[in-house]
Amino acid sequence: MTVIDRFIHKRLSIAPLVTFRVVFGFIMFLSIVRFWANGWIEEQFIKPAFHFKYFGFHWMPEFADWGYYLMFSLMAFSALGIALGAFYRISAIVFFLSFTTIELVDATYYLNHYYFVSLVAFLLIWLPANRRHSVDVKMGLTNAADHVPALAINLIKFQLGLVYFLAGVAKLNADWLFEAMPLAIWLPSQDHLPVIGSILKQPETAFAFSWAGAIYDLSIPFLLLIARTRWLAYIAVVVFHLLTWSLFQIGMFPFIMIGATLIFFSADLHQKAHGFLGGNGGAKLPTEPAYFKISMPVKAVVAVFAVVQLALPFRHLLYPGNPFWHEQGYRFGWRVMLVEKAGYAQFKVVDEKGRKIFVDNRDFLTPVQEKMMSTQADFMLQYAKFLKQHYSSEGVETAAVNADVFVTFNGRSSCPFIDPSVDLASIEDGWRHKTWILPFNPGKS
Amino acid sequence: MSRSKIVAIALVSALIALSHAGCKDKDPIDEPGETEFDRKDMLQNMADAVIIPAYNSFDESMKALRSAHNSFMSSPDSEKLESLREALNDARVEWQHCSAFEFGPAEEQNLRLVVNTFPTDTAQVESNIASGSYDFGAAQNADAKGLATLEYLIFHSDDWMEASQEARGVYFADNLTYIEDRLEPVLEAWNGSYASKFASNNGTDVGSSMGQLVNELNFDYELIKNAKVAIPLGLKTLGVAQPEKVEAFYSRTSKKLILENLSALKQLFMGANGLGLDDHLDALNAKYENGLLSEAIEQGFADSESKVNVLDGTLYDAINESPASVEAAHTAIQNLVILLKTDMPSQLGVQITYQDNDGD
Repeated sequence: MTVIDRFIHKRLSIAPLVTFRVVFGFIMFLSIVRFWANGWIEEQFIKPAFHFKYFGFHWMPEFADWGYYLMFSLMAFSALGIALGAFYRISAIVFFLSFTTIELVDATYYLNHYYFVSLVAFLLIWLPANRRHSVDVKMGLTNAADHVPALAINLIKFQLGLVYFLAGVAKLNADWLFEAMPLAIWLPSQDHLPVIGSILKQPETAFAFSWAGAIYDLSIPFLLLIARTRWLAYIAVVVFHLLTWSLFQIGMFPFIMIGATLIFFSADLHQKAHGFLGGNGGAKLPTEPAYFKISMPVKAVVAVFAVVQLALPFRHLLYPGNPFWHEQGYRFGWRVMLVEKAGYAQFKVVDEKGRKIFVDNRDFLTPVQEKMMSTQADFMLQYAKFLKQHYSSEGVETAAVNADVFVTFNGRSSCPFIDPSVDLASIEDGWRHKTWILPFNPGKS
Repeated sequence: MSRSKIVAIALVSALIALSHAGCKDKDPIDEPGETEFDRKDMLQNMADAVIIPAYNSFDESMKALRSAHNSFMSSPDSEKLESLREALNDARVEWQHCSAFEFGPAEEQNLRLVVNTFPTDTAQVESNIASGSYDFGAAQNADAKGLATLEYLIFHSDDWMEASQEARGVYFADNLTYIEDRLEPVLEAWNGSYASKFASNNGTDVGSSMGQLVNELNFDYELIKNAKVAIPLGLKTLGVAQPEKVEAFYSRTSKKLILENLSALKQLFMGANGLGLDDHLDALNAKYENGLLSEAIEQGFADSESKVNVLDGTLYDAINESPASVEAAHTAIQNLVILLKTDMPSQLGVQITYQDNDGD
């Protein structure tokens, strides 16, 4: 067997994949209940008069109020379906579609970990994770299996490893390594915490955390893969994620990762755990040989998926300037915890006679939307188009929409972000470099 | 902070303490540039030196207003009307020093909208007076109450006999009662246990005291820019001025109120004479261009004040006669929004939302 052959075809115990399925489904279920209980469905989707879209997804429909609740109900039930392995394939499809659709409704709430959830949900659709310890097997909807082709488990490991490693690569920048930014701002802001507060205040701490974080992200996928270092690596995973969870407002992500990385442990351990939990861990089952045949088209799709995943995070290199400043090619790149950023945008709607309306963003946007719009150029274009439409419908002969925007990032002085003379409403968003974003130029404001 | 988070912190703090044991060979107190700054002390000072005195002064001014009104109603004449007007002007000034604290107790009472909604819906006020039955809590009376309405009642005409008509006097007194009833719990909270609760909520997330202060300071400052200047100047109506929408149209004191509001926010930023956000920024060594951010913000306040100060006559007159000077004031005020809304919260690490983030 070649390396690639082993990566794809080797017979592996299904146990780690089953654990992954159960943990992922269950944490997703909890996340959705938490989201709902926090009132965020109302806050993030129903309240706003206007939603920012992803490039290419401007056609995304907005739902009626009940539509959002329906989508979240679908998400919750299908997450449970994944966990229990009940109507697994359908559950995975429904979960992937409902979760991703809701993410696409408003780009304001983009989080790398939501993107990660969408990707994993997509992968789960194709993986036979319900072949053991599942309602489907109990009900005879599918044949039980003891083994899966290695690809099923390796794809998940690849995806997890990629998130860590590329998050580590993204940390290899001057701000993170040599200025300890943004941790030099964020850690002292937590100096009121018991015990560790006084340590967080020390400038050395931010550097120690920055370097440790980068080394952690870059090395953890390999340390998890190697049997000898696995336990130590997993302890590091738990400590790292509990620490970030307690210091930052990052929601469920730490728990997703703590649960998901269990897949790196040996099949033996998973089987024992299943047995311990009453899952009849050791029973031998026959497996049909056809099940291990993976066709060329599937291999091709997996290859394309992997290449896209590897390439997408680096597309920012195609744009001139500092990506932390212009954020072109920034999303979908595992760039987490890398920038402390704030902006202020004064939009002006200008009519045919050159008369102006100064826009109060609060009239149209929620505080979160305003914050996100004030630093992200593609949102400014969408907002400008929205304003033009809004004021035109009120009878204003809108000629142009301009904006004075100031942005600060990683402790630098705020300075002008875009060309204030450009008509934002007439610009079409696209992949091309946005020349109307001014080069970062501190000391000029 | 939830209990489970504290447990998690305890778990990991032991590990960090271990990992830090090696770097503890030098005495941290001797380090240059290391300023010991305690957010709790700052918050305590904000409560004691800024917030509580402001509320108490406003309360006193409201009591003086009540007694001036009683005395005017019992034997109305033009002199008593003059004292009543002065008492109202005082109360409006004192309110400027309270309007930024719209969190906690004040937020519960919706105090800012109760006290200082403007401009007044005079038609609604008149119809309320004529009918003699009204509920200040009702939506249609949102703009028919508060200090601006009181101002309309006693300033819109110099005829003291009209202001002393019984139905108008009752409307005035009922309005006072409505404000007092909502102010009372706020005073009680701040003079009671809320102040120490405020000081000990010393984190930086959105529900923390500093998070609330920074967000509300910004909100109030943007109200000056938008409601008090931009709207009357016509910046939201294609340059068509609406000078009648100024904050104090009938008493012609809008300019003074803006100056008071600016100085109140500056006091809040400086923590009066004690620890304030300026000291916090300095302790973090926050820079703006080549100087200190705190100094740039102080300069921003000074610029805004001076551009408002030089307006010729009342704000109403300036809008009508020299709009360019009012636009200059608007620009100066806007320049400071940039620092207050971007550099300051960013350097302090203040969150604006409860929602999860990526850390970006």
